[in-house]
Amino acid sequence: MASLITCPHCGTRPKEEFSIRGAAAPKRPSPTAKDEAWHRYVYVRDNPKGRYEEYWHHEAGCRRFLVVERDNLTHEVFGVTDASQFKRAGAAE
Amino acid sequence: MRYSAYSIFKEALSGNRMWKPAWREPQPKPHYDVIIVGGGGHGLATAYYLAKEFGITNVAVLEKGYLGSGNVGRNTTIIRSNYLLEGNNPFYEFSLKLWEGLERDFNYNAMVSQRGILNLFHSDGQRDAHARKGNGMRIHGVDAELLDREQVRRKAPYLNFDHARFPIMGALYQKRAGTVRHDAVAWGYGRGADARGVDLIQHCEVTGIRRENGLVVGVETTRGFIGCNKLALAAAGNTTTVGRMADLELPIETHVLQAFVSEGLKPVVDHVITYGAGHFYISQSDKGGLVFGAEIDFYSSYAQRGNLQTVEHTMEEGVSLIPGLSRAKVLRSWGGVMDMSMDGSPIIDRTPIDNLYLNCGWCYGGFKATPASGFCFAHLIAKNETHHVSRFMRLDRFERGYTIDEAGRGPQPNLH
Amino acid sequence: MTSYRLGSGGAINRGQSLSFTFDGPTYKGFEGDTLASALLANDQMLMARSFKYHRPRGVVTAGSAEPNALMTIGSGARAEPNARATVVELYNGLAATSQNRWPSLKRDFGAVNDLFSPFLGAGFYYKTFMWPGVFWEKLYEPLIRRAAGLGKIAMQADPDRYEKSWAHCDLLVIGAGPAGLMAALAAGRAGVRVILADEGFRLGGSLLSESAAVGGRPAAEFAAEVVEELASLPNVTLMPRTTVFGWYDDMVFGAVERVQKHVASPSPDLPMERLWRIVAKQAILAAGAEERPIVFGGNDKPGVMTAGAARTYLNRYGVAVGGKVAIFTNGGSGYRTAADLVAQGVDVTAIIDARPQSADPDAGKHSGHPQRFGHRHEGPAPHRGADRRALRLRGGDRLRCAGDVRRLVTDRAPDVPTRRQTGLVGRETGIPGAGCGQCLRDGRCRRRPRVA
Repeated sequence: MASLITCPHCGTRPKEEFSIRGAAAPKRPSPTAKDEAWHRYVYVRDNPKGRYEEYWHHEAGCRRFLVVERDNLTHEVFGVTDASQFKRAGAAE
Repeated sequence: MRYSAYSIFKEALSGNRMWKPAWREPQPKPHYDVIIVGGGGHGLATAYYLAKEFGITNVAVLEKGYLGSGNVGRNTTIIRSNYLLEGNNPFYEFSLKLWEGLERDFNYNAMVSQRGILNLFHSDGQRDAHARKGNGMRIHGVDAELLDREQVRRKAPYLNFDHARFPIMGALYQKRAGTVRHDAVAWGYGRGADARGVDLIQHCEVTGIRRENGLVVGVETTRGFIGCNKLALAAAGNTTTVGRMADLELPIETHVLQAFVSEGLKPVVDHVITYGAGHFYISQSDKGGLVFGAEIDFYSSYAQRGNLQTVEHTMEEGVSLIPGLSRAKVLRSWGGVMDMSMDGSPIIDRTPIDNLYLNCGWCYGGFKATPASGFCFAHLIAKNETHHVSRFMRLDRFERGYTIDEAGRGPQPNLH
Repeated sequence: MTSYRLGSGGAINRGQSLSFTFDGPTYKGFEGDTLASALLANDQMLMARSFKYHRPRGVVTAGSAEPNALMTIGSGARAEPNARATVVELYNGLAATSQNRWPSLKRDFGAVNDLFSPFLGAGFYYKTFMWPGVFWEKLYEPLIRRAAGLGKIAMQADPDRYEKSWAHCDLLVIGAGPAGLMAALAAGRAGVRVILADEGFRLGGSLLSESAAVGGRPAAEFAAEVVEELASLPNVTLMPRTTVFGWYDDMVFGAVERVQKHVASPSPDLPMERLWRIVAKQAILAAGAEERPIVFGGNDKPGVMTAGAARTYLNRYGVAVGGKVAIFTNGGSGYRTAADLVAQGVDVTAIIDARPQSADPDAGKHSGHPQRFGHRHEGPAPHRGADRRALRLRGGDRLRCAGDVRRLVTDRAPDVPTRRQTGLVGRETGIPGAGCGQCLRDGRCRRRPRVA
């Protein structure tokens, strides 16, 4: 997807500068959460066809973790936010 | 009609007018004992073995495109059983044994070619890992041989032995590994299943799974409702989409993998070669095309097309391993969607719904598994119990802490 | 050996003669020739053998769609197999070798396969070679492997280097034919940063192949003027010899530039080829149309080619495709070809029109040539024996043509390969070319890939 990613810190950069770190939607449970919650967080994936949130690490740039929101069928990018600013839809435990 | 040299001779004399289609085009019946979703290699093999080994012939295979239009029709055709882990090795060895007798079994020449695979290693550490894997294979009764640099050079003199950034130190060699003509696998299984009464229904997309009292009663499709006693999913990259219709929560992410074929060339690459310093694999088809690929594109994608970066990366790896490739031309490339599991190993299992069965998580290594996957899945569907070689490939293994992580990469589907 | 080079005309430099070899013997061509046009000028119609039956193959097109005229260029570590002679730019000392034949192109032992063709139908190998089991790998497969494949790859380390570059522009125009040139000119004059890429070594596309006039000047001259103006604009980059091979996400295009494939002694300071990644805000696909040959028995014989190819060889390279030519057509292109050929003194023996009657205004102009309407050309009797000079027409009618008759066939279909890259074929009509109407001559401009 996306040949170009607009990093909120560095501007539009080629995809090669980033490494992809997987789904951003799952929310990390509290350390004391039940095994079931941890299993879901570590292994279960929604894997939707369409709108998708994914961690991209700007390895060759600012080295920040970003969340790229995009469509995984058309590869259209809707937005890129710094991971610290990212608000998940829906609440987890 | 039985295929043979005699049939070809006889038909030729009558102007090749008497050949019959390899399978029927039936209308879906209102109800089947078993419905298999997905007319790719695994779905067709499942139908074939259900009919042949377990006597269940009231079966339909539903395919949204045409038979073999998914990954079985577009892959790098490698078969091998060089796995280390107990959860994998006996299964893939079973598969290799089925490949070895396949053509006479289903009366279709799938061109199983046991030309041998060379997994190159480029460091002492890698040699140790390969030696360990080879020993693991031999303990399971599988052939494996550790070759040194000169032995590799004799087999594949065109590799970059002289100026490589990562010098070739040797290879783990499995002689019985090789390639198979991929289309013929789909067609052979399809034809064999059809001949035994299985309905292969093409251009029939499943749009919903109907349940009553906690059990599946049938599927909604683009060609109407079709009832069934048992439903089996073999939908590869679309597993999540279909599974969601039955509220399955799966450890699967869908990713895109590209593969490439060169123009037709006279034979030069006589083995399957994999590059240890990168992730590149190559063989040459009987028709002459160099067939090669590398890694997935790393991002979640349902688009059946890849990106230029991966194309470049693949070509660069290829040329650094085989410098002579630089003057060959790529004839075509394609991207397919892969059901990447969280530990890189597949799932052949029941689901929380009693009569719903699941076959998925093949990542991008599903082709070599086709016969065993079909056989074990058929076994599971017919007897409601797991075949012993697939007993580790359970859906709940993640929860229980029994992942089968051959690469040791952890729960990162894009790294397997 | 007859020379089919015309006395004048064509966009070739007759002052610069180049010598090259094909399977040994030395031939002469001119600067501006392709290997195919130079071979045709030297009466070398037989250029290859087919993949399976080893049937003789001649050139069918004059461009990158060429399926037949594949040959190996160069030798040693620089040998390039399966090069299309129709796009190989001629240079002094070029050495071409035919492929997939033994012992020679003219007498190819493999042609014996053709005799057994009823037994070797499509996919025959799926139905046999299964018994006894061990024979597949020991006997059948090695035989099949040896028979298959076309060219030989050297498998030696390449002495040349390659490089890659990025380029950025407001508008990428793919194809420098009439539509692409005018689009680039309009955008270039408006100050837009334009890249104009074309796979050919001379910009102009079909303008170079046609005898038509634009604004009272010959089309090729007009093209040259436009190219000259484009070259003078600082915001326009011309990229000849550059094949755009893929359209990727975010309007990134992959392209290969052949930097010195056409040079007799390549400079070690330059790459052989360059991979471009072109990021464009907008792009115009002006790749033109491919002519689609009409299907008939024997249409694969050397000497049968598309009408457009014949016009290209005639008008651009100054080569007559034969002394006597018959034309089989279902549209205007056949008549235009006839007119061009006649104007250059080539004998057009017959025009056979598949339609019941021609609505073509040009049809009447050819009253001097035998014309047959509503006929279906049934081809020369397939391969052996028979009268190779007779065109067999439906209903037993035979048209005899003396001498060396070369038949031309025509039909047209738009080019699709590049558009396939993003999976948009068949959905074209739903996509508006919003915002770029001013630079659009062929109705195919889009801002970004969209999937319905």
